[in-house]
Amino acid sequence: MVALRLPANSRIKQGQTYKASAHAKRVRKFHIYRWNPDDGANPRTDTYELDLDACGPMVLDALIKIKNEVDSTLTFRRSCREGICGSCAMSIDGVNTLACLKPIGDVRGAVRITPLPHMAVVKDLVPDLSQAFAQYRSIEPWLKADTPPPPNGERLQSREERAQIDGLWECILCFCCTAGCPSYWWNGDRFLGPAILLQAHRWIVESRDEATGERLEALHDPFKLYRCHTIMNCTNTCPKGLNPAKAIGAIKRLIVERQV
Amino acid sequence: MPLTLWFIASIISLEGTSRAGVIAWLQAPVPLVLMLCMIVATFWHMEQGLRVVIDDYLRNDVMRMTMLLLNRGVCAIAGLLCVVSVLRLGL
Repeated sequence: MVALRLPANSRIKQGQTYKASAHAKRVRKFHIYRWNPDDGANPRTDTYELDLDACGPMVLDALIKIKNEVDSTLTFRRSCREGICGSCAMSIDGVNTLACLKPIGDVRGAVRITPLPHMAVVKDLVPDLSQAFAQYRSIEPWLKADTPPPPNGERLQSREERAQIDGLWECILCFCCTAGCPSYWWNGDRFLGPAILLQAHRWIVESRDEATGERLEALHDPFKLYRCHTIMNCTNTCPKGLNPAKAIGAIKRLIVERQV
Repeated sequence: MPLTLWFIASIISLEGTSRAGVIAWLQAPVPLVLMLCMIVATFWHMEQGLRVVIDDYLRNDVMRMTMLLLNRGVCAIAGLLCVVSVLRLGL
């Protein structure tokens, strides 16, 4: 009925320690979750000691240095290194954030790095985001308008209308928020999660979109939207400073206003 | 919300009144109706709140359905008990 421990093959074991060179002055330990699907072993925590004087300031710099110089089997996603692609989302020091935007100096003591919580792991720090992206597809994140566009193809909108999607369009779909939501942990198969609901709101308030009613109707079921209990982990953890909780509250209000 | 405030204010104002005094207060139409509304609202709210918890945490469909029906049953019966009691005093 209730499991108090992880299944035997999921329990995280102590892994190897890789020491820094003797003349390193500013040494920091990085405890990193490792798991290889091919070797049948349990997940483990490897410890890497790095000389911060020979490393860039961000956690991603440390990960890349480890992969280049210490252990090339360490696996993680990364691309832009500037906080715009969303690839390097992971849990650093217990907080879901982008490794490229998290300064090592912000963490006191050893840096604990694990993959995004409650997401299936492909390998090491790489989460399986296929369900999250399938949920994104399910909200139909494209312009739906029966009215044909004007002859020059430009559907115009005023500055005020464009301002409606500020705070919504900037989402990079890193899924830090979704992976931090306890409701998504327990009901991720049916609850859409804060990232997708933020995007749903982005399309609901889009002035050029004509399917607002249908979009609101689609969310009006006990699971897709209403598993949100304003836990607020999402807004707390967003590395881009967005506010999914506020967007979700706005959707709930719009649904109520439609019914009244 | 206003109903709850009224309820709290009434209970405070009834402090120290005898049993007969409370029954007399309840026999007036406005307190009686508001009290009935309060009971219905409270038990409805309780049922909804427990329903959210059941929906969140019970994944097994059979177990979930059973608990949802039990939830509705218990809240309905408890609510009706309160309503009948108040009506017997007030009418």
